[in-house]
Amino acid sequence: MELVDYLYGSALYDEDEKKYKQYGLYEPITNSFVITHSKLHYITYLQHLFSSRFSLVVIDITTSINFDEKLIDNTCLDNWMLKKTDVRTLNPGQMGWTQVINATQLHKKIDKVDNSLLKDTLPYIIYALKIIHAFDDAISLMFGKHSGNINMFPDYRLYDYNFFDIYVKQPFDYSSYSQQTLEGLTYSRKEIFNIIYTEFNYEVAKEKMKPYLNEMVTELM
Amino acid sequence: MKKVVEFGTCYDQEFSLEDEIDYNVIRKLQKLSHQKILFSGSTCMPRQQLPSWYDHMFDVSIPDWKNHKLCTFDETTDIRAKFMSELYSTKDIPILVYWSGGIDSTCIVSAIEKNFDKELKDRVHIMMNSNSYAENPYFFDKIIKPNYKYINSNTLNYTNSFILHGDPADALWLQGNILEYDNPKDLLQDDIHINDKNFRTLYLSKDFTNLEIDWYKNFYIEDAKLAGIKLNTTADLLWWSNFSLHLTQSSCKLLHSLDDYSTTNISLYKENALPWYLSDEYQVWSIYTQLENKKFDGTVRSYKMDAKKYIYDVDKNLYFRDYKTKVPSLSTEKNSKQFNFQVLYNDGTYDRCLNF
Repeated sequence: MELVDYLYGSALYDEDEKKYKQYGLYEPITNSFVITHSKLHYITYLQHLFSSRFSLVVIDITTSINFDEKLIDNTCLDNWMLKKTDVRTLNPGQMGWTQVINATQLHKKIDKVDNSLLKDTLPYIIYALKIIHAFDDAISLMFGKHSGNINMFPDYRLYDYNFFDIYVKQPFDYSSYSQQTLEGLTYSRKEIFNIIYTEFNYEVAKEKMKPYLNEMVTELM
Repeated sequence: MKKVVEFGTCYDQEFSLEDEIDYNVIRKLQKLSHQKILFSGSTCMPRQQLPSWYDHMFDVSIPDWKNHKLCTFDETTDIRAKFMSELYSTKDIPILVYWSGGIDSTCIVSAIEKNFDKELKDRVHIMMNSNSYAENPYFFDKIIKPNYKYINSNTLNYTNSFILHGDPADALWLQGNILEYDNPKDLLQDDIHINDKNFRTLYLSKDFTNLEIDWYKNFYIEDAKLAGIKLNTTADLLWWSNFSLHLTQSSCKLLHSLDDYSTTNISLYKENALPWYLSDEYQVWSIYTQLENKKFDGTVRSYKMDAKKYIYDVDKNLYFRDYKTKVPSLSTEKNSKQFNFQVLYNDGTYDRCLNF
């Protein structure tokens, strides 16, 4: 799979906090990292969206004693695992479920457990990450809270829908978006997230999402 | 003089009625057994040495397993479903199923879906809440929502309904915290290494001396011998501690929620709340699969795999079968008195202790 920019999930240096940021989603049955990202809230979104399938745990990778910024990213997830006692699964309905567990150390992976289903689901997870990015950026643009750097999506051809093309190509006039548009966008996001959460078949999910994505394009035009 | 029915020194430790109960002793007992001292104190008593006054409760005796036919988990579950459907046909009252979304209660709903006829299914009400949904949304969407009535409620109504819940399933398997052990495969070696530091951290108090731990180990080994079972591995020992001692307490768990412990009320409870997993067939399955090492292969994935396969046959959810692991269940049952516990005496009376 071709990876671009943020999809590498590399550790990024946070100038404000003067430290590296990198979080991982960890799957305890296969002792595998599913994906890494420098932004916690993206990882948390993915944890929620795919909790209907996996008991995923959010890990702060930077606390590992062997951490460096080149230790792990989405191209080499299979090489690393955590010690079992470092990982604690929680019930998704539990308070504090999204708590971040500090990694003590990343260990070289020894035993390989069959993770074919997880691998098969990875394109879906990547797609969900793209959607989260798109929504996050669109909404923050409309609120004017974001720099609106369209280069966040350098390879928009990766996206399946017109929305992304239009989104990255069109200059945004923030003031032209009404509250109604914002509500429409929020509604679409909710519906799309709901589809990701409940529809396990990736191809079917994409079909189901189409009308909402197209609606968003209309809203933003 | 009454005796506190307690675990371990087997009824030797006595307290006179005149004495104020030393709760520190109770705490110590609880710590020693690593289980709560609960209604009827049964958790503290080996199932093969239950006093006669326990007869008014569910039958928790260990069956003569050597003369029982071994069935697979699927067959055992189907047998249980047929038994329960016959039982439920005797009274036309609702059947309330407490569904947490976890493996045990989902297996029950799967068995109902597979074995009950339409008339019985129409009487089933799934008692659930949003936590149940969060734990298994697929099952809810595919099986429960289109086929059953479901109620967001935690009311325990055993007076005019049958009730079902996921206990005492855990006692048939191995405790879920075995998954936290660094190398679970080590537990399957032909050697009981209960003194291992890691084991002690997980299962016993860190304060225990080696002497206490040895006592604990030997107690289980001797207790298992009474049932004709030889414990060979640490996993066997963990299973036996659960199977021999925890099963009784687990079967009676909902009793804590009763407001009235009169004989009539308890009889009614016993009649309407027969636990799904408390059957000779399940016990025999548990014993054989443990002794033949077919229950757990040391991988996290194999935890309760037979039950997950049974569920898969009904809902076809590969994710649940292959990636569902132990998460703490959030109770859907009424448990407002969770800080109460009771000390049972050998004549069947009890004291309730608050804020323990």
